[in-house]
Amino acid sequence: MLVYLARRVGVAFVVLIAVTFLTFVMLHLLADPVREIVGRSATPDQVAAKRAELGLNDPIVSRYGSWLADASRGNLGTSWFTGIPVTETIGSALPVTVSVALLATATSAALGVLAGMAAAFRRGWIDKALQTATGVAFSVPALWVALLLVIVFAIRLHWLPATGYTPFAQSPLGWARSLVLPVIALSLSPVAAIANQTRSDVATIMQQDFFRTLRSRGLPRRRLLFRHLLRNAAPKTLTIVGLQFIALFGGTLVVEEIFAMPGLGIVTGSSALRADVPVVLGVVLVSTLLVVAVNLFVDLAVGWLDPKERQH
Amino acid sequence: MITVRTLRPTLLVSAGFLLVLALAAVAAPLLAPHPPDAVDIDHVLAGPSFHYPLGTDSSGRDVLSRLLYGARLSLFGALIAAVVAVVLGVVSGLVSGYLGGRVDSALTWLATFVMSLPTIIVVLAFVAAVGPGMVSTMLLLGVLVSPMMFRLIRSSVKQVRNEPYIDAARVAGLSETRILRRHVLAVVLPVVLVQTPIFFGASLLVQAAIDFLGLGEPNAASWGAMLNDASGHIYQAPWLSVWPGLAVTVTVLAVSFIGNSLRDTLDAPSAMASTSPGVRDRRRAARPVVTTAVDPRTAVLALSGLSVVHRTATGESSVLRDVSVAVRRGEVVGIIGESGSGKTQTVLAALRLLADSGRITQGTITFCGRDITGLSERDMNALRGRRIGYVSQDPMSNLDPTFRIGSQLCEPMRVHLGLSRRQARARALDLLQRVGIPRPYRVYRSFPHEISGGMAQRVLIAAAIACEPDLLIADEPTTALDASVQAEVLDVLRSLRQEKAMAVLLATHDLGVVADICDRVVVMKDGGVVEEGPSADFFARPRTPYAQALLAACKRDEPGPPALSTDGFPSLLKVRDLDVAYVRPGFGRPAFKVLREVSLDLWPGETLGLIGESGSGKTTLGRAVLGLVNPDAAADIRFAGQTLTRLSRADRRWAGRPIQAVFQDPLGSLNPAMTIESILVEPLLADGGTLDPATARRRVRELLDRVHLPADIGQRRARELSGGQRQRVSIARALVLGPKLIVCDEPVSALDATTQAQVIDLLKEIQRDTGVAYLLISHDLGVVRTLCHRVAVMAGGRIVETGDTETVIKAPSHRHTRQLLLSSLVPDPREQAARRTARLQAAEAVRTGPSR
Repeated sequence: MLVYLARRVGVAFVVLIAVTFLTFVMLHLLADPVREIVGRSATPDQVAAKRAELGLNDPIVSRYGSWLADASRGNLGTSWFTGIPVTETIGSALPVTVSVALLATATSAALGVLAGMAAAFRRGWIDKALQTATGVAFSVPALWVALLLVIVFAIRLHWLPATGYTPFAQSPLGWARSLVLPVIALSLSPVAAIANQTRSDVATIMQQDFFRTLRSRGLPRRRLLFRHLLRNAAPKTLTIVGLQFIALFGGTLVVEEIFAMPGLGIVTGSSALRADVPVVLGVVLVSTLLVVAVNLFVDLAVGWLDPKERQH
Repeated sequence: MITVRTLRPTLLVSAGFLLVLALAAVAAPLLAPHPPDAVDIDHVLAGPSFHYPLGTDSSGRDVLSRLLYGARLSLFGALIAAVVAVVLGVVSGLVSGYLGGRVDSALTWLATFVMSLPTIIVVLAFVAAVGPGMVSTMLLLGVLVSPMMFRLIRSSVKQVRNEPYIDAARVAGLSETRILRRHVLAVVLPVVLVQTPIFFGASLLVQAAIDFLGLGEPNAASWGAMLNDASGHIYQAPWLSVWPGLAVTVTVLAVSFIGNSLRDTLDAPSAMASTSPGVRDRRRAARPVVTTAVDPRTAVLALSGLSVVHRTATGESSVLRDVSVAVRRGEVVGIIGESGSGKTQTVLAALRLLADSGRITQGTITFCGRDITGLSERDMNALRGRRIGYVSQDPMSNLDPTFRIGSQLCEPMRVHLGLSRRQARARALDLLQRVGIPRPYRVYRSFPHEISGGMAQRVLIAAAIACEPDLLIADEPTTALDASVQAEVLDVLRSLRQEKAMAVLLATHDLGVVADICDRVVVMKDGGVVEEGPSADFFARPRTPYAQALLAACKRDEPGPPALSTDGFPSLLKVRDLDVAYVRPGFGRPAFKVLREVSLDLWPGETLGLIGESGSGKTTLGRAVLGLVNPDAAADIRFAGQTLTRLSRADRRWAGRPIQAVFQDPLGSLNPAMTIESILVEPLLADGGTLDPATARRRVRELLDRVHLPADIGQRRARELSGGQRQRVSIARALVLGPKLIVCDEPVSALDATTQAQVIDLLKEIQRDTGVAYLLISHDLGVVRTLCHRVAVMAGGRIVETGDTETVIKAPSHRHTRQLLLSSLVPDPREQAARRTARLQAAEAVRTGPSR
């Protein structure tokens, strides 16, 4: 088990290095923001001076090495455009994005699993309704749903704020209220994905021989459902929840834009368009770190849940 | 395969919508009333008007025109992403799935890596490097989602690769490229057809998000950009988002409808298929011949006049008709009959565990004098597990793979008897010992995948008897087991009956099991009971013709062919020092030797039987002869004097053509997508396709006639045939190339007894007419005895004894052979009882004998 864990952590680390290195190389080879920074009227001397100042004349591997060394000490450099430290920018934006993404993942996992189990266990109209609903949920763009929610619940009904984000520390209720609409908009497609997966998994398990044998032992329905079915469906469900979290993380950026929430989306969008290399690198590092951590957790959990995997 | 008739209306409507949309996008310059970027400062955020049918946006641009131009960008972009994803995914999936090994591991790792990247963030970083743009971002998107396609293709290719019909194609001498083209692509194509629309829809959604964020084509009209504009003016013009939002949603919906209908069309079983075991015949059953009358009131279980129907796509089909069965205390009643006769349905009906589609239409089920036909699920649960135990067929699939054996054993005791954790555990360990498990604690702590099939079957019995039920219902409880394990499991059932006076209802197709343990027999056919009586009477004087046929089919008493005199003749097949090892996945694990120093000879026109328990290496030996597994370097396999080892792939394929095969699984060894005729023609085309179609078809007709199949069967597909017919087709395919040797791996074990007898006769007839030699792999001593001139006994990857069939069976010299013979059951109660005594004595002798 320890060897397995060590190997997984090692792989996660390799992924992290690979992604940041590729991004680093790509950004430094292809993007040339210097002219943007110094302004169009700058002389070639000024451009050259700026390049030297930013360290763009050193070999790329050594630059990556020093970036990585700094990053491992928690220093991600400063924005080439604003001069604000990257850690500061990300530090204030990350809680917003993570709140939305985590809450949406938790909501969709809970709703999706329950809906999927109900559809598989009860069949009939619940099943048909779920099939139709998931079909539609997969097809509606989350950002349009967000817009419609704002129009109805914020602008027309005034129930919830249309834009903005209230930090939890400032007002827990305000925090919750500012998250309701973004989370609903984001959860739609993941709920459908998780419900579909759970439904087909549970239906498959119910058709397996061992399920009939369990029934032949006269076990109560609740026990079958919440002990045996759930336990057998858990690994696959967890895997899809992990994948949905990754997808949600991207989707959050879009929804933040609509709700004008000061999250990673706003930060990244603007810095990507003007090739603010340190900020983009910082965002890539932090989000990859998060995704890798979630993947690692899911892998370990799935490995632990599956007795056959557990031994390896 | 897809005909216009089977297409659903939703598919037509969706396809029509997309077609119109695509045309409108192409013709946007003609259709759009305004250029997409024409600004009208006087009409900013205007509502619909004659001039602007859908109003204007925040810069006074015409919404309709932008919508039409946006369609160009959106559809084209999504198409780019979908094509890239599908092409990349299919190519890498095919390579990975077909080649396996290192390439597979590397590609799988890469796919997992790409899948674990947050798409939008990667696109953002990419845009930061190369700047915004539609084509570049969509190409990237295609790459990012291609792993999903890769996974689907890889797994379906992997699945096909393991199908016996791929082995059959190899044995028929088809080249790898041909196999890939004919057999593998046929499976991949439907996946691509179904998945492409889904990828297209998903790309459209991501593209809208990318455009919304301004990362797509700068300054171009796109649906995402329109949504962005709407989002910026949500207070002034809330309706602005409706049109682009609807455009995206409806397009994605239409595309996903197409994907879904394609999937349904391709998945839908052909209307001709009738593989369901149900009986469509609704005649009333003839009155069964009954020689023992059991009073239902004194019986533990009594089914009286029970009829069951199943709901199917084409109406209701009756599976049980007027079935009456009764079991008394301490009695073992066997239900016998061929597959589809209703044994399992009877057993499940007694437990009230019919599938959701099943329904009891007539008759009653009485348990200990109480009518339980309509008992509620809750009341039924009080009986199941507590007073009625159930042991199923196929032990490995009947244990919950995620719980330890101990927990599964304790569960019914804790639920029904309210035992504490500790009490249940003590009792579970005791039960495990009772069913003959040598180290109960180890098994208690194990997960199902850690124990063998024989252990698992004992565990199932232990669970079924945990609450000391009055009745044990067992469905083919020993079918999946080796002879020696089967004998021991039956011993366990016998002792339970004696100690606890438990009643046992046992469904089986094996008359040997009946002879060993049953007091009474119920013979079923087509969902009805045809005969019922004491087991001794049944074996001595079966009354109905059906029962007589059943008994005759499995009583193959006639001795097999005498050994051929082979002095001076060169052998046809010569195997020397054959070692085969399977490399276990993962680094540093030692290879597992399945065959050790196997040597054998086989002469022309001879049948050599290979017998032994499962895992003894029989099948691997057959596969090595067929060239389907690679032997270790020292081995030498010679066929008609020519070596088969150390040849190039192409040479091996050519040299192996006179060696053909018939596999165990009659359905799996025929490609479901091909007609019987094309399956049979295929090997003829393998060597360059010089045969003209008319000659090929004539050859196929001759072959079908040869195996006694009607000529019109050539146009059908495997699933439309019965098991016996399928196996005849397999035999015909083996004969196509005029072989000298046919490797028959359990050729009849999947068939019913009467069909078995017919196929055996066919094999004999073909050998008589063509002089072909057989290497016959079988676990069934009866089959071996009637067919084989000589037998070789295998154990632990070695051949432990070889000799004339009669000599080996009458006077076995090796310990393994003796055990094998004594454990195998004979369909004769008296002889079986004698054999059982001999086996128990031998076991006793081993136990008490002097230790070495």
